[in-house]
Amino acid sequence: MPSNSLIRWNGARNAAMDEIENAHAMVGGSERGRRYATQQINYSYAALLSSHFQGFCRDLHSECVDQIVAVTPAPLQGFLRPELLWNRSLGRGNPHPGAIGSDFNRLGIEFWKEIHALDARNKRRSEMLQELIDWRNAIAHQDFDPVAPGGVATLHWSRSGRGDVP
Amino acid sequence: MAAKRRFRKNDRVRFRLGVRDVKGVVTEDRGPIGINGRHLYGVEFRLERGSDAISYTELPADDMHLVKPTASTR
Repeated sequence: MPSNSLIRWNGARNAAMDEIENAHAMVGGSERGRRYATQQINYSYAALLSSHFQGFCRDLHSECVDQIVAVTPAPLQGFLRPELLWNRSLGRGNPHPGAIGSDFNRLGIEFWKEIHALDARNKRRSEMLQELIDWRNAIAHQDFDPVAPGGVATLHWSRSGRGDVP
Repeated sequence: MAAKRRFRKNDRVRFRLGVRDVKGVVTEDRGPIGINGRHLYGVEFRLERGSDAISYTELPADDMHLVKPTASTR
């Protein structure tokens, strides 16, 4: 049974990203200007993907906390919940692997160790997530030297980071 | 069956924190992401009256009560 967070990811969040893909497809033609226009769309896509993935991770963390709190004795629930949510990295910063790990580790698991053990592809997926965040930061700060001289992101690259939510 | 109460951003609410009642403000409807799809709400509150430190929690509607504005807070 999928989590409520994954249902939202597969629904409204994916629909929002489909709109960007559609916009990319609608910028037709072979003029020189097309490449510049699609590049800006790709930048938007990468930033949007990062934003929605952060939302997904934050939703999933909240959902996990709700599950944990529900099975604790009632007198403890009131202050356990804010303790588990306190200073949550996903509430204020990018969803880079370190932030995800530190937030979910506080729920009593070794997050990345367990994720990597689940599927051999997850190591590469976590590396790609870091690449996405590096691109997101480059786009937001308009400083592309750290990620790629020239700063060319492709739709294929953006899309490849989207479909891999396990 | 009675409809579930829905809260809105900026609603002032009261909820239980351990052995005491605390007042806070709804900052976000987090959507139906809780157990069995129940709505969770982001709530900011102060542990001490007058404190600068703002704490945060997320609560289902059943755990909160709307605080009606008084003449002095309207």
